[in-house]
Amino acid sequence: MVQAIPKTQPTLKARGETVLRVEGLSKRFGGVVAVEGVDLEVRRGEIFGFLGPNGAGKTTTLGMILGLVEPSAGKVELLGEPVRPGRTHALRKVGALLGAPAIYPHLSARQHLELIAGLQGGVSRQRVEEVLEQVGIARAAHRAAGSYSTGMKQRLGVAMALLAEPELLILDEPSNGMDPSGMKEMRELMRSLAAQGVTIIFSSHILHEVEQVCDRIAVIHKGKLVAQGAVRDLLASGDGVRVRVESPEEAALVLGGLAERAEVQGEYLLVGGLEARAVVTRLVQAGLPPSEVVPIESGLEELFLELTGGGQ
Amino acid sequence: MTLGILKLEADKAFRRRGAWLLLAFAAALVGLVEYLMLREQAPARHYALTLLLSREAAQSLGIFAAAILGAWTAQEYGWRTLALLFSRGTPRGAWLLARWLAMLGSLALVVAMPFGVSLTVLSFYAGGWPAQLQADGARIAATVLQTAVAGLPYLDLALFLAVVGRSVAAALGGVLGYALVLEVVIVQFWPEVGRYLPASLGEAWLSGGAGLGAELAGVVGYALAFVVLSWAVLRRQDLGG
Repeated sequence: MVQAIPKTQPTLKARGETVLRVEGLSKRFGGVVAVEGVDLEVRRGEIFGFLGPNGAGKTTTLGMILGLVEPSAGKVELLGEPVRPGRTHALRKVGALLGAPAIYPHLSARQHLELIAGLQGGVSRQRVEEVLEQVGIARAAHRAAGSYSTGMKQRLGVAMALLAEPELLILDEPSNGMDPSGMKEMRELMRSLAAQGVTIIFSSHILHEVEQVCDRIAVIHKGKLVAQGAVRDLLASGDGVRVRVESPEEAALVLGGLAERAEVQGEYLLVGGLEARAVVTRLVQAGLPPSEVVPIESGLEELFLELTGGGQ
Repeated sequence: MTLGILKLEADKAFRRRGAWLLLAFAAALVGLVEYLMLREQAPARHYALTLLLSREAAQSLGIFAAAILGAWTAQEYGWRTLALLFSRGTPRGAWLLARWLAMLGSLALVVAMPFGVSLTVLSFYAGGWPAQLQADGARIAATVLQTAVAGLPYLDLALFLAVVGRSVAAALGGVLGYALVLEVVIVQFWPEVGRYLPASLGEAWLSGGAGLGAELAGVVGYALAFVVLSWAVLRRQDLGG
């Protein structure tokens, strides 16, 4: 079971300070543009969702942030230090799980953690056992990791990311292969870590999960950033009112100057950026009383599909 | 961090049961060949034959060890474990140095093994350690060292192929293909070119004593070139996929 174990020393760093700043980040592989002009800002203590369809450039962007991929242009500043392949001291304060977990199939989970502990230094044996408990693989910790299920490998990847008590945690699809209870435990773990001041960048295809845990999100599509902001602000921008009127085209003209958008869909008009009461009042004043008014609250899934053209 | 990565690579190299089993298998093979060979020969020739067999076995096993060590390095790409290390801020140069030292230690062990095994078998025949061993100890140690140095170009070629090819097949096939086929063919059919290749340079150096001649410079030059090339590729290599 994934458990939140309080850190013995809560971080003293100020919440809200910028932990990660990405400016104009681009990556080309030959003639193929994988990432183009991405700007991101992640603040301390927040859970930041990084979304995009398959092949949108998420993993490449995260790879550049972690110094694993050299950018073609742009810069990454992590905990105030520029990131470059080869050597970045700030990466020692980062825990990451990028794509499928990287494991030595012949080593056990405990040996993996001991190996990382030896590499990073300052990690006690007790901490190794604590993290094994935390991610719920303590009972299988002696078994070779090659024999683990996908979900267990994922838990091991999370354990390795957590081991050195990072200030920034980058989790790329951490719930992959986990059952629903495992996913729930993962969400609780992320919330608990964020409450302790750990910043989390989290990418997932499970939008419901993202909506539940993230403070802010960025959406990348075909290598370009198409949205970034607080989840509630982005969702509010997608909210609207659906009205049924005799002449939707005429109603669109009436509301055009007031609403953020007024889109005719058959005998309906979709209005965004204007409250239902204001829509009705204006239409009645214009002699176009609506026969049906339905407030629409968009979810992250609708927003995501809209931003990414159906996730393609 | 650098000490941490050195320990980590040493642990990975020397705490792997499969590698020790492979070494034990090779040792058994060398011991068997030595035993059968000495059985057919007059005792007066035993000591000289033992040293000859040890050197030949060390050279051959050194090539195979280099290929296997290259494959071991390439596995890190397949398992994506290099990303695991580098995403924690491990300097790439430190890792390359640590890996090279771990490979070198493994090669030295493989090269020393036939001398140890053969002399042990000989001691069974002779009813004790041969008397010459006391006087020859330093010379034998030098031969082990020389054989290991002569194997360096192959070891570093394996490292280079692993880094460039990121594949076990490329490292294994590349080293064995070069050392057992390409180099042999060149030495055989174009001796004027072949004399500048690692095999001929190493052989010339081993035959000429432990001098610091042009042959040694050639061997070290090849070794150094492959390490530098490996570093040039690794330092900017994309490992995020």
